[in-house]
Amino acid sequence: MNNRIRELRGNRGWSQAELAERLDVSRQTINAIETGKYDPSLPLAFAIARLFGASIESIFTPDA
Amino acid sequence: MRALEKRYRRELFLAMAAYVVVMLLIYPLARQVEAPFWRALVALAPVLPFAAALRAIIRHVRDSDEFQRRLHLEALAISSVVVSLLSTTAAFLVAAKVITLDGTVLFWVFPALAGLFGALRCWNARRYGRE
Repeated sequence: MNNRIRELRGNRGWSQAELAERLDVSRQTINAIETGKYDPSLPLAFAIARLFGASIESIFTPDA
Repeated sequence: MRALEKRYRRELFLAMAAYVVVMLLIYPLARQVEAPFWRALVALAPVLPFAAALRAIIRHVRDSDEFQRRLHLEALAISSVVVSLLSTTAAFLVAAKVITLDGTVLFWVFPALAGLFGALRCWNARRYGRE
């Protein structure tokens, strides 16, 4: 699954550690999600969407 | 470092420090105590700090985020399977009287499990990018 988290995080000027703190997860988790090595659960995906004020489908897109 | 990691390190350090103290000061007395009940009690004294260490590990895994938990459990699953295979292999050889092992070999089960888990967990962390 592809996602725009790195882009959205960059727009807000947050580091991976800052985003991790806001979502109450580890920085490694953010890194794994951003690099597409890990797809988050639905609750975490919702938390990410809520934090960025966007819909899940605008952040996460299935592989082409 | 996240608060969760700090709590885990503190709890594990205290438990392991207590374990070392008990092993150095109390456990050696087990052979000098005559009464079976008290001897059993002294011999089992290390189990308490050991259980505290396991509690710290369980709390750490339980309170980790979903991705970290996946890494922990993946490493735990593989290390359990490998240690089970090795111990069963040794048991077959002992049963067939190919090798001789006494009961103290059981002391090595947990260190083997913990060591392999740690190595696999580090490997997993490297695979997904260090924290």
